[in-house]
Amino acid sequence: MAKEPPLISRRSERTMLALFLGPAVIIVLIFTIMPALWAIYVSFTNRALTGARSVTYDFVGIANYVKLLSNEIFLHSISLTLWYTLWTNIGQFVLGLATALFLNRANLWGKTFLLAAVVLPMVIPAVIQSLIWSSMLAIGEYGTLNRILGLVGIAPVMWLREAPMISVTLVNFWNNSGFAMILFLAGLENIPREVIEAAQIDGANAWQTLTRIRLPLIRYVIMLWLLLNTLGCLGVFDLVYTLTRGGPGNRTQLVGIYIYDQSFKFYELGMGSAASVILLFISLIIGLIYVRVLRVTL
Amino acid sequence: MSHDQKTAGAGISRRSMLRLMATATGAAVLAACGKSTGTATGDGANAEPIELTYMTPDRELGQKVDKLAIASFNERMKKEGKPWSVKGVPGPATDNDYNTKINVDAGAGTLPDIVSLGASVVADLAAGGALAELSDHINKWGDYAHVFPVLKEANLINGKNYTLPGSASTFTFFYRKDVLAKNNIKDTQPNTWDDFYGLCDNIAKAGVTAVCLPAATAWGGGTWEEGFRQVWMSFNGEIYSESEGKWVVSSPGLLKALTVYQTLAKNKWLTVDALLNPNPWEPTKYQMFPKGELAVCTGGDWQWTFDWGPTGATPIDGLFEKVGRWQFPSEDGKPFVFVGTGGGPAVSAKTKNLDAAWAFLEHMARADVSCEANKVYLGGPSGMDNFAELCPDYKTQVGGKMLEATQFFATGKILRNRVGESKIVDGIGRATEDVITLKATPEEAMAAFAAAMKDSLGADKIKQA
Repeated sequence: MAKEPPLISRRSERTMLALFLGPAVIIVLIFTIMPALWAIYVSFTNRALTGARSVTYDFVGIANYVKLLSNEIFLHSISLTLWYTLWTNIGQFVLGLATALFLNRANLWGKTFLLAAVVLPMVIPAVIQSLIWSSMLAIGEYGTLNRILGLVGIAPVMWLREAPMISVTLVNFWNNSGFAMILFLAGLENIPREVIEAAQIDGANAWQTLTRIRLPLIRYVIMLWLLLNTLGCLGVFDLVYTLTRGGPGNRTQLVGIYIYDQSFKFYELGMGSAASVILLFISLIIGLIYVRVLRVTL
Repeated sequence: MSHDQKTAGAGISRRSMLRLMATATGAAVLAACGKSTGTATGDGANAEPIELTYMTPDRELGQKVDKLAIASFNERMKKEGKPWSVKGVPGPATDNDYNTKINVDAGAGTLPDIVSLGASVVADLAAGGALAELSDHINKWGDYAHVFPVLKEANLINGKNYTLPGSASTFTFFYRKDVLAKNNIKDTQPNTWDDFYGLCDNIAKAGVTAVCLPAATAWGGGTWEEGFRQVWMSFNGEIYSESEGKWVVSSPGLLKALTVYQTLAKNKWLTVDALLNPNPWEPTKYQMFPKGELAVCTGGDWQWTFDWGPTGATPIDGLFEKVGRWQFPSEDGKPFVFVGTGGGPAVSAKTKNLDAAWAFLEHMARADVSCEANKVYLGGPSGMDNFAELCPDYKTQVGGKMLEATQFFATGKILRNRVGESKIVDGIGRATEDVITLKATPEEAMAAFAAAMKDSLGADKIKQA
């Protein structure tokens, strides 16, 4: 029997591929790769955003990197960023999973409404969310949270002054747990009912069903969420900037804020770019670890 | 159907398509070049219209004034048959964000044709080649003879003009007369810092928060402009060495200035917690001071209108009866007023038309235009010595406070804009933050400031006295 000719010739397929991928590749090249390469180049210079060094700047080799890696404030901002990433991941995982498990019940009344309520913060721009929380956490009688606490006789707390990192992290729980919940819920709803029923017939209790059946079956979803969320946390800027601008002092100066301060407040583009490159490497390393774990262990 | 067949079927060959694209590209390039030539030289009735952009912070009162000036300018140009017009492009409202935008725009070469600039950024922008030099235009400007000498002097950067020297602000302490009177505290001018500490102590003993002196990083440029430079100057030390072209980053005067902040913080006279908030002017100037919970606060003339005036952020009823001004105390017992100038409208080096931009600057400085604008918002004293004659309303506007402020133009202290000021401003923000939070002693904060400035300005641009 003669072999049936392919519907699309190989040449046409290549053309189609180029046509479909071309615009995306061009956009990525122009808006991601080229700026990244430019940032790497600038990180080896003493270029400033304003003043004489914005026009005539010098190649300084790795001086910016040496300065940064021996700078206590920068190292502090890296440790704060890792702290923020760790606790944000833990908090959002717990909240997202709990909500997903709750909503995963087949005959839950008001499920659609609850789903919408959990996802709602995601459709509010981060800056608006921060401003709302800024009002909630404001000092003294001006803060909504303090007013609520006042009703039960608790003295006002200066949230963003006394516990700034905790406040920022908790706000992020609220903002982004919906994303974790959506992914986890999608994963949970894909688990065949029979598998759960079989486990229950074998005598597995709720905890065992969760830890031995449900979580292992949605591990890819968890890893995907973890990867995306970690990268998002490492580069967080808008939420923290609007809430605290990195303060008080440098107590919430995460790397994203540090980069902004260096580049657009102190106008040191070289230093800001070097800090960005370091953050890029940290993100790459963590990303590679996740991908490695995803491929090998799971 | 193959790919080639499809192309043929479309009725146009690849060669024809390429030819068409080349023709279109060529035509577009020619059109763009033609337009560029037309706008660059456009002047006269038949020239192509030029619309200039003008950026100022997006604050309600300021925007209202800008709209008036823009409307009257556009109308005037139309009457005079000139093809120039101006369009307002509001920038971010807060100083920090506004300065960031300006510097980013300047770096990207997209600075609007005309921009309103704060004093601390002018020198750096000029050094970076972002601003057009206005010296020739200013020297030919008919009203230049009426600009107060101190403003003329303060506006020069290496002998050149980059901004229109038409406005200024005097900086002092503002205090609540009624709060002091209620607590039987005499409101006599404190001549020395010890006098001032005595006042603070009395105020605190009366259960009122004594003073808000902008400090720390959250206030941005205000820490320097509304507070620190004046405190530093009160010790009669050098801030910038004119002869050497260097910033002083370590000196007895600087140490004493930092010690003032430490003293205020240690004794709990200063609004430390509020100063560490993201927008520290809100709890202090907009909440505590209007309520009488805070007795003293620094600032400039704009506070009479922008902050506490009837259309301001937080109006204070009976403002002129309730609020008074003290000059800054000094080490030698001679209190002084600081005259802040050096900022103002400037023109981008890449403006579409420098003459048109200058025409707008000159228009805004005209007495009739300013007089009309002042009816909407008067944020500071006029920089012209004949303004009160040309605009009689000015004498009584804002309780006559603006005219009153001009008397200090001749005697007040000034600080010229110098390259690197924006970094000094940031460094002082950090130093004062460390001091008021008692994380560092004045000596430690000064040492850290000196090291940071050496790092960011360069060893050849700093001086340790």
